Amino acid sequence: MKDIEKINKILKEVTNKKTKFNPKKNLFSQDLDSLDVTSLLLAIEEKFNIKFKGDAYDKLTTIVDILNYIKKNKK
Amino acid sequence: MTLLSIKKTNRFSINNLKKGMKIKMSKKMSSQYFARSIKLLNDTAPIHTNDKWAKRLGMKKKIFPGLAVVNVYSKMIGMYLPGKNAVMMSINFSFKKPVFENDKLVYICEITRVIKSIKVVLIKLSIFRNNDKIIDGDCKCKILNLND
Repeated sequence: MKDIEKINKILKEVTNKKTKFNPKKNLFSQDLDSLDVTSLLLAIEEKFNIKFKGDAYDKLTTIVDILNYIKKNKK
Repeated sequence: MTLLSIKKTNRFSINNLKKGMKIKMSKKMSSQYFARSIKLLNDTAPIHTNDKWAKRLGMKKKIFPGLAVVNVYSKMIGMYLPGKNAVMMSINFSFKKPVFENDKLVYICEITRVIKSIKVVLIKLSIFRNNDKIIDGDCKCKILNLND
């Protein structure tokens, strides 16, 4: 499974939403709230075995941003 | 470990929260509080209202509803630690011993991990009666930096 598919799967699990998420659009503009985004990041840390650093919550605003971060920081 | 005051509502930012920060609160489970809790929860299950039934279930007398015991954490977390910038994401409890009318309980909240990058704190929750831990739990909170 590709990373983007994994992220979409996690997003559906943590948000209980069946809508398709646009990877380039800001997550908050796709009907997600702060708890959804935080749950997503925590689940990604666990599933991808990475640790978010710095201002991840403020800076990673789209799925593409998250994918790039994973790519750079994957062990 | 830092024991914080609970005299006024706190508003910690993620940068001000540190592992080991702690608050403590005492509460007597009075008969009035017992009656109010039963009414509020609309839980008249005989284990909470009938000593004989409670004995049949292995208790020495009727017991406090578990959720009425732990509801104190709503105030502790939302007003004091982390305070008004916090939104609760999850909370879990293990009930090790029953709570009875007139028990004096000590509630403790202690920060165990601060995840600054995601603005999340993990908190250990413990409730003691006469120095015996009777309930333990944990909680995860999102911390938002808001100005008044």
